Amino acid sequence: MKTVTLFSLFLLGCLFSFGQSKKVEPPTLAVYRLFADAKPMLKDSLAIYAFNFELNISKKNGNTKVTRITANDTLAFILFPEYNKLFSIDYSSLMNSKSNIRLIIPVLIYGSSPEKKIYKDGEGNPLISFNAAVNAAYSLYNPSKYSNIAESQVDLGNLIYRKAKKRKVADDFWEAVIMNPILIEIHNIK
Amino acid sequence: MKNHLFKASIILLLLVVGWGCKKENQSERSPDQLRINKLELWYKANHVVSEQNLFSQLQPNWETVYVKQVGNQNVYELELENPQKLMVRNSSKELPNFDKESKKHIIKLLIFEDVKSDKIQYASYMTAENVAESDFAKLHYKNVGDFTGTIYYYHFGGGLSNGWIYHNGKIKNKLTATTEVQYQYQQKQYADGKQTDNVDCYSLMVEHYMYVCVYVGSYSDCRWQSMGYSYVEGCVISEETEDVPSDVPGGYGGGGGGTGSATPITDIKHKLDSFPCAKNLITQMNNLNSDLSNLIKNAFNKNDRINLTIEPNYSLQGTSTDGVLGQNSKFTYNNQLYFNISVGINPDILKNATKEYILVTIYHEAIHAYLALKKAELSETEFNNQFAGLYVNGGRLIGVQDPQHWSMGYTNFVNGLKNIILAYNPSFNADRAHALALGGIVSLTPEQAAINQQEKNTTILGYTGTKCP
Repeated sequence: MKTVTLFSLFLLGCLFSFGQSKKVEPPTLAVYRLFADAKPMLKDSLAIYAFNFELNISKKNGNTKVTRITANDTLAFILFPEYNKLFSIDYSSLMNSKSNIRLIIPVLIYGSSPEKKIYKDGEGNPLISFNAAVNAAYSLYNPSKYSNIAESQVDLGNLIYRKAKKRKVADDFWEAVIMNPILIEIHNIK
Repeated sequence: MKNHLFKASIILLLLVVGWGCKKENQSERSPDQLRINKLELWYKANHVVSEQNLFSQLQPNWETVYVKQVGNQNVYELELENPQKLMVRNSSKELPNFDKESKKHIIKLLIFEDVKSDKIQYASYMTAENVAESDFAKLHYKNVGDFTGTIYYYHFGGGLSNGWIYHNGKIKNKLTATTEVQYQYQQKQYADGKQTDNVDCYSLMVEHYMYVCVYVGSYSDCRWQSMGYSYVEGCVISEETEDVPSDVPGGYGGGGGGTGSATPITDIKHKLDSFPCAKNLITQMNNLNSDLSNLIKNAFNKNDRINLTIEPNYSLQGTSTDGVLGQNSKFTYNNQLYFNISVGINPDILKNATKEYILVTIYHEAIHAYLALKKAELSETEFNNQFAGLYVNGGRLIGVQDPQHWSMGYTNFVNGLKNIILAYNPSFNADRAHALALGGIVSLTPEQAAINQQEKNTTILGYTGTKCP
C-alpha cells in the first residue's frame, strides 16, 4: 500500500513539473494554425471567396465542448476538410463567465492566377464587380446562408431581403464571439 | 512518531523527485576526456580559417570545457584564446579607451550536441559586451546570471545571427542581423524625420575591433583597428514575451564531413523529404552569407509567426515553369502579424537540375515570398518607397518584361541571386551565375538561355554546376 502511495506521489510530482513547463496556445491561434497550412483548391475565375464557420460551444465542469459546427457556405467544408479538428481545441479562455457561446470564424480567400486577371488596374490588381465585393463583405461575418459560387453577382439588398423572409425576428440581433478574419491570398506567381 | 516520520519521508521524497524531474532538462557538468576528444575532432574537421571570418582565428582552449544540457541538446562552452583582443561592440559616437574597453568583452565557442543521437550538430560563437560590473564567470549560454550588456550569436562561418540586450539578467531587446542596405535605409528614414512603422524597433551598427601589429624588421607598430561592421535591427521586448530566450538560435554547423553532421536551426520549412539533395540545400541556406540570403533569413527565421515553406508542386511537373509562389495566410493576434507562405518548386527541377540552379530557383521564389510579406507588413506608401519602380543603377532602366517582376528587377536582387550562387560555390563561373540569376526575371540572350537550360537538366551535357547525387 505504501509502495503504491509513494509511486502515485512520484507520478504526481513528475506530472506537476511537466505541466508547469507546458505552454497552452490561445484558441484563436490554434484555430488560425489549423487553416494556415490548408491548400484550398479553387477555381481561378472568382477573385474573392468569403464565408464563416459558426461553432456552438458549451462549458461544463470547466471543460469546453463544441456541440455543433456549421458554415454559411457549404463550400467552406469542401475547401477545409480538416474543419473537424475545430472540435478538439480548448476554447475555455473565450468563455469568461458564459456557459454557451457562438464563435464565428471568418475566412476570406482572394487572389487568382495572374493569367486569369482579365480586368486590371494600373498596378496590376484585378478588378472585380461591386456585387461580388459587397457580398463578400457581408458574408464574411454574417452566418446567413450564402453561396460564393452561385450568388456572388446577386444584388446584396435583394439577397438580404430574400433571406430575411425565411428568418425569425430573433435572428436580426444575435450575440456571438467573432474572431479576427483568417486571410488567405492566392498568388500563383511564377 | 511513526506517522510524522512517514510524512517527513514523503516530503523529502517529493523534494527529491521534483528536483530530479526539473534537473532532467537543465544539468551542468564537466565532460570527460573522451567527449572532449570528440569535440576537438569535430572542430578540426569542420573549422575553416578564413579572412572573412574573424572568429576562425581564435583558438579554443580544450582545458576549460563547460557543458550544460539545454532541452534536447548538450551545449559545450569553450573559452577562446584571443591574443589580438578581437571584440564586438555596439557602435557609439565616441571611440572608447580600447585597452579598458577590451576587458569588458568576451568571446566563447558553443558546440551543440543532440542528446538522443549523441551527434554534434553545429557550432556558433557567442560574444558578450559587459556594460556593468557583471561577473563573466557566471555568464553562460541561456543562463546569464545578473548580466547587463549585449550578447551576440555568430554562425560558425562568421555571419552574425542574432543577439540580445540584457539588463540585470533580463532580456530587454532582441537583435536580429540585417543588411547594410536596410541599415542605410533606416538611417535615411531617421534623418528625413519619417516615422517608421514600428517605433519599438531601431537599427544599429556592430563594430569589430582588433589589436593589430605590423612588423618591419625588428620594428613594430601596433594599434587598435576596425575590422568591419555588421548590422542589426533591435526591437524592445515587451513584458509578456520575456520568455523569448528559449528561441535563441545557436547558429549553423561547419558543413558536411567530419564526425558530426550540420543540422542548422531554421524557420524556413520544407516538405522535400522525397528530394534529399534539395532538402540538404534548404538546410544549407543558413550556411550562406550574402546580403540576399541574410535578407531571407532575417525575414523568415525570426520567430514562429512568420514562416516560409518550400515544397514540391506536382502540378508543374512536365511544364517549363520552375517554381511558383503559392499562397499565404495572414492573421492578426495580439497586435502581431502571423504570416505563412508557401513556395512550390517543379519536381523536375528538384530531381534533375544542378544544385546551383535549384538554389537560385528557391531564392527567386523566396524573394516573391519576401515581397508578399513586406506588402502585408508595410503601408502601401512605405512598400512603394522601398520596392516599387523600375530604375536601377543610378537611373538606367532595366528591361523587366513581366509586371510581376518589376520589384524584383532591382539590381540588388539580381546581383543578390548571383552572389548566392557564388557564395554556395565560389568556383562557379560568375557570368553563368549572372545568367541563372536573370532567368525568369528579364528576357535572356540566346547564350544566357542556353546556360539556364544546361544547368536545369543534368541528364544532358553542358552543365558546369554541382550535380545532385
